[in-house]
Amino acid sequence: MPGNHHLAMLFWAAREVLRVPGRSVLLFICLSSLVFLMSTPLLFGRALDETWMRLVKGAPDLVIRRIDAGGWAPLPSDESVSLAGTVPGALDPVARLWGVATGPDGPLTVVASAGVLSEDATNGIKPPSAGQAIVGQLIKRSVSGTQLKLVSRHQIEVEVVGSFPPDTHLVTSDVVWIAEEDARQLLGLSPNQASDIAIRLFRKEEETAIQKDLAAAFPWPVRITDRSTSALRHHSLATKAGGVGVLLAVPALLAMLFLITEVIVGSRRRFSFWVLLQSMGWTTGDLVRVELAKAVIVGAPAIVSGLTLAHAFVFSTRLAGITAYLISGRRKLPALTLDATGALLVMIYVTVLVGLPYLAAVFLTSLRATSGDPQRLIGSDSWS
Amino acid sequence: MELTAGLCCHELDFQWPGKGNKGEMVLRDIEARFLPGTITLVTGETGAGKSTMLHLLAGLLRPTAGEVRADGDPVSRWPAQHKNRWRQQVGIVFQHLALIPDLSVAENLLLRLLPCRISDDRMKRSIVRQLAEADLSDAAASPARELSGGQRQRLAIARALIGHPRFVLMDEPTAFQDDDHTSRVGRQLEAAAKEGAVVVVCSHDPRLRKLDSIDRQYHLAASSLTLRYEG
Repeated sequence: MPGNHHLAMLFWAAREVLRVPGRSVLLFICLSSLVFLMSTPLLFGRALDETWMRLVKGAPDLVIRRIDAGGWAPLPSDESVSLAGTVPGALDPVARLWGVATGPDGPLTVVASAGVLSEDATNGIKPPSAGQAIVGQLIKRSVSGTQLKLVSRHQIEVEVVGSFPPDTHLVTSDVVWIAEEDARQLLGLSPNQASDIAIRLFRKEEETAIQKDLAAAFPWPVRITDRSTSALRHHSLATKAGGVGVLLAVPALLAMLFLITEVIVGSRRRFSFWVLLQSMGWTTGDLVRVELAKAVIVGAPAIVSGLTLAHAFVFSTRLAGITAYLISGRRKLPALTLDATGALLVMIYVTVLVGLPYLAAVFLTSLRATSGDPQRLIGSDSWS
Repeated sequence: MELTAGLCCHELDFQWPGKGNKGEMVLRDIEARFLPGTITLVTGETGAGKSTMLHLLAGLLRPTAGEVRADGDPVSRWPAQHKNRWRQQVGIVFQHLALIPDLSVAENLLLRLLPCRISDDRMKRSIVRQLAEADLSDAAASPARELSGGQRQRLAIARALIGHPRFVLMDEPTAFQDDDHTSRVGRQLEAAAKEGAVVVVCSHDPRLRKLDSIDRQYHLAASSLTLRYEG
């Protein structure tokens, strides 16, 4: 009855794991840590990449900002829209009103024109009147009561009357939507001034070429940001993060090899035990199967827990800040998302990268140790 | 050599590999037959090579020359993986017992049955019966390390006999037993032989020589095996 035999061997493997709980726990911790160390940067890198691509999906192709000796400067909105409209290929120029202010928990983004936010975020929400604010989920949690104090060029206090839908958390978590007049007061902008001009392109391929024409069309210095450059910058960060994962993987894999050598090969008592089992009719196949089953019994939950921990450290709001700081040096990052396929690919990659060498090491060492004659150990060991 | 049932040693030589043995032969030109349904006692001084001969019969050592045949098959020439499976028919008691101290008494017996592909119920029945025969039923769940010397030896004997092996090989099985338990071990050997097993016992315990059920007695000295008694 082979089915029963395999089940009995599986139970025996579990019993063997329990016989040496300290070693099993150590192996579990090492494997779990290894998976965590490898998968966290990989998940982070991919998630950051994907999140950024989602963020910029609905963003304008080009954004024009005026600069002067002091840095960013407001630009005259009507004149700027009119100038941008004269450049062939530049479509739908829109003057936007937004800026950065300090809220109860640090910097946040203040927007006043609906064009800055995606339609998904503002859909079904009544625009705020003067003295009112619609806030993202992160800010909603940090506000005690309904009054929100904002500080930028000037200080204002608004009443929180609503929040953005939770499913738009990715783009609205640190956003405060206030009325135009409040924004102008807060940011110190006069009625005919805007923060920047957003432009859509007739042909996306002209993204680089058209920037010269646009810059020449304005009578003051401007800085033009295109979507590809922004995406590339974030992609570099993501790639760098992924690279950290690979760099971590090398010493981690070496550590695992030492661990396997110590646990599997280093133990002479284990050899003696195998010889004893062989003297009782255990075949090489039986012994290797039990060793592999033991490896899976400890390794599978270790890999799952390592991946779960990595997932938490990348996607949990509370823990992701630590990961972001350690990997990219930035605490403030948008909440990261990764679709199921992307996450699955990373998990399969790490499982294969850790699981296969681990199982191969167990397989090869146990096969090598049990496939020969027991003679070489009988003469030197005390059990016989 | 003709094909025959039981265990046969033919022109068996053994020398430990390595430089430290100075070319001394442990066993030289051993000719012996151990027949099914009989008990054979091998006597000899300490260090005469009794344990080594038992390990050769169990296929745990490879002879330097000659061969061991089991029911006509040249098992000593087989590759390791074939010998491992064949050893499911061998029950062996080592001189130093080789129990697993942290496993329970019942689990030590289970180790012998696990590779035999038998049902759980049959395994349980076999373990219960062997524990009763070894007078160890009360200690089934105790770790082997908590047993006395005599109990540990009876456990090692029970492990060798469980599953009705075709070949029973025992090295000093009564060294730690009182007279009563020595008689009990004798009865267990008789029962195994009656079931058709080949029983080979290496011992210099004089109490075993007096057992009526001993069919043959060999003596091992100066690397040679000589027949002393045949019933």
